[in-house]
Amino acid sequence: MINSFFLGSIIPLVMMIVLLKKQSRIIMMFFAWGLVAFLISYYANTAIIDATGLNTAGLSVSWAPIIEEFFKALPLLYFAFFRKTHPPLFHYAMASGIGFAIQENYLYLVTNVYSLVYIVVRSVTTCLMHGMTTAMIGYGISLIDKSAKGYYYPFLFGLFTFSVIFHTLYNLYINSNAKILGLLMAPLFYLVGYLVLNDSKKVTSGGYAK
Amino acid sequence: MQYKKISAAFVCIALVWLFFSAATFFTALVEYPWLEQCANIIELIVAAVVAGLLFWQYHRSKSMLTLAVFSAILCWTLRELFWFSYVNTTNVALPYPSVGDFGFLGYYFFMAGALSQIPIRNKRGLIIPIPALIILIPGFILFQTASGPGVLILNLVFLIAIAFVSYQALEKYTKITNTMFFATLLFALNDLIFIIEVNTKDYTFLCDMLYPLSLSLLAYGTIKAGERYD
Repeated sequence: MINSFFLGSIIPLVMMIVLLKKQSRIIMMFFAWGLVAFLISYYANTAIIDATGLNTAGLSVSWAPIIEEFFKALPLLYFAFFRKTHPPLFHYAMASGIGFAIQENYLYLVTNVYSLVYIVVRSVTTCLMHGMTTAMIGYGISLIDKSAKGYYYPFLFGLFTFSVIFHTLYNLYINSNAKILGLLMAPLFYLVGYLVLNDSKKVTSGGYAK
Repeated sequence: MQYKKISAAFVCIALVWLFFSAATFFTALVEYPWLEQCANIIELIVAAVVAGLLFWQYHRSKSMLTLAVFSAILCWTLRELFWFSYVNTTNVALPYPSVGDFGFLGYYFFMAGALSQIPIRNKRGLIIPIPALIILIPGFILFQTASGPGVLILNLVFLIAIAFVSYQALEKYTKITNTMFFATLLFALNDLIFIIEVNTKDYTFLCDMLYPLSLSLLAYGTIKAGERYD
């Protein structure tokens, strides 16, 4: 079923991407990558469950955040390693995270009992969390000066650890008695992202502050 | 200047906590679980406040040094929050290694980035024995106590990260930035105690006593050093 949802989404997207130009094309490519990242992560997580015997809750605070964050952020490595200058990557990275989360929503719709409230709550919590953790890596890459080799690469790994820890913390709360903390965490993080992004635009027009 | 004063006040608070907690721990005046819970809460509060101070300092100065140390402390704080939340929501001790240890490593990656922005001042030959000792002595203890190959590899990665950042700190020590470097070394010592405790004992209270001091001193030292390197 998940493969059908994937193909049903990715094929029209690819057709559209072919016709798009410049920034619109890149943002949609990142969004499409999010769908691909979900499928890869889904199979990787399933393989780990089969190999280790972990349950879903156990997986969500161990391997899953590492795998998911890695695959969502993978295309950002192109900008990090092969481009001399960075465009503002926040939006591209967020598109990848949101693409991932939308595909994950499909999975939850087919495996859980359908509920409108459930899917709306998921959309303003888990979807935002996926979008923001990847956006955080993108924003960090845009923020740091690539010419400073000494701290550029340590920073990249540091940003990845940030997103993994944040994701794990969210999964921990959402699967525990402290669910409310998880539910509040993602919209709060989104608000902080919105404020930081607005502030950056004030400092420099057209890009992030260096 | 205002942030420097607030961080200096936090250094004093952390010192008071250090003496108080050491006295209660060694005299067994208070029950250990209660003391540990208290220590974790204090650690989290101090970490969150000093991360906030550094964020506002970065917001004002746009200094990459401040941003890097802020990121390092925030990463460490998230890891500590994960540890605290895991223990309190599941009532089970957090396994070692766990995803939380990513935050531990993240701290060192950000700190390596922060220190790389400061020019080298001291002769390398004189400093090399220190990181070598950091790897060899605790490494020997941890090699004997490691419960499996995964733990052994992680211990080794941690020791290398601690040794590398300590080496960087010693290499770039100057009188102007001495507080920051002292704090970096104190943090490294703190983490060495943590790794040994987590591998050999069923409590980590000795490092919990010191963390607030390391954190607040690091924030104070960074704000002070930032005035020079901004």
